[in-house]
Amino acid sequence: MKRGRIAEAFGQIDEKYIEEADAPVIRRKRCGKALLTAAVICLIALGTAACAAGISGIYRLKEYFEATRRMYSLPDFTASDGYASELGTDKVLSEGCAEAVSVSSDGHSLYVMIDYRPFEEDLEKLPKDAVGNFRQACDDIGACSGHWDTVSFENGVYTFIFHCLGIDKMPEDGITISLNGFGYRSKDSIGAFETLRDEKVEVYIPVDKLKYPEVKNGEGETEGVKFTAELSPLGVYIRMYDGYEELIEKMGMKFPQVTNVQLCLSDGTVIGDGYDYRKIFGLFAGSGGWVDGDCKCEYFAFSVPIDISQVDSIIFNGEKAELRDAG
Amino acid sequence: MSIALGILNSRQDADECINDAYLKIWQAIPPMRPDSLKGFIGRIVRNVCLDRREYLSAKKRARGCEVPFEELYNMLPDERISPDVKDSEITDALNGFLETLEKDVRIMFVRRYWYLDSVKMIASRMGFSQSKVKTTLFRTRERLRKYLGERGIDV
Repeated sequence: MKRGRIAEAFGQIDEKYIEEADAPVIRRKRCGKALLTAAVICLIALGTAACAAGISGIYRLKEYFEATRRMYSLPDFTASDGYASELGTDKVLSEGCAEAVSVSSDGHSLYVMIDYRPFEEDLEKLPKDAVGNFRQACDDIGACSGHWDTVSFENGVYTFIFHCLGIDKMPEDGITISLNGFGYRSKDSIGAFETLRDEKVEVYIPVDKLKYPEVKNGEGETEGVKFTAELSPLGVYIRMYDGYEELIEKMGMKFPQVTNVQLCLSDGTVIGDGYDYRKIFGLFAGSGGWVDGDCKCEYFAFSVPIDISQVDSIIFNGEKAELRDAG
Repeated sequence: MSIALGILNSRQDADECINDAYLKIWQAIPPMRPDSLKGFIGRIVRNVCLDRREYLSAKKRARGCEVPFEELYNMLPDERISPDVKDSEITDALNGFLETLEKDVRIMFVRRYWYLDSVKMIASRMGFSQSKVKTTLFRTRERLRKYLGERGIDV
């Protein structure tokens, strides 16, 4: 194959150009004042039609999961169904306000879709083709960070996805997500975030609105250490009992990794085994752990929900735990 | 996956290369903290796939499409041309050249010669006609030739 020196040099170009060329294309549409009234009427009509057709925050979360599933070519047993709860209101967001529109959680992992309407003056300052975002998004329950990203910009409203995982116990009242510093990531210097507005915006998730999905349970023993496994559409929750310190040491890690987990499907496929080992990386979005009394708990979150009816058992550190529906 | 498919034009070969790339990434990440994870992973995938493509070409088993950067082959094909110029100097010149391009043109050029996208894919992604993409790429290659020449790199 003819490569040539220029082609070789292309392989070494600055990563900022590689990122720039792979950035999502967000089409920003602006209309003049003369068109604004007509646009508002159209939006109201569209909004009414959308409500009538049942297009909701749940639908949008589902769309996000479906896009993620396609992007990572995830295995067939993943489900785009978000197992989500609707949270949004019908009110039109005012400038500088944010609200959670839908949420998906199994008690240990939380996906939230958030709408935010920036101030018009901030949008004016946003460079052409820059993607609006917040410098930082964090929760008040000390969970591990999963994923935070801009999903879309439509009709003056940004939609973001927030994911946190490794939640040991849900609070009794609610979770507050703080969005700090609206701005954009500069294209000129990698990693630099340009803040346009310092004010913090908070979004509250009332826990009593969450609907947790059905789960499957199992138990097993590896290297003399008993463990229980709980599989939900959003992740795998492992509890290790007496002797877990030695077990983790034997694994050669500071804590169990996704490579210690395999999923056995009803059709005989083992995700995370042999040729399928790479799928386990795409399937999991991360993991988080904590100590609960004498137990070590580790939670492995999926990047999209899965269809748990197709999973018969879990292999943890080489030992299988058959799963059954939780009663 | 799109990088792998662009280079190999075979789902099976691409799958195998992605597998190899995952292993390399897994081995490389703990000691390294890349500035751009996406760029870091893409670079590994690209190199693994180009090596596979080279292997398949040698065995005359490469499937179908031309690798886009073969369009660049007539510029500095090997060390016999401009032997005094180091590879790092060429990379620096290329980075400098990319900086001079308009954003759309730069994205088009990088999509073609780094991501190795087909003209059709670039046109669809950027909302241009295929003929516009082809013309822009041709003109940009000529600009690159001139740019390198002005900096004493004989092409």
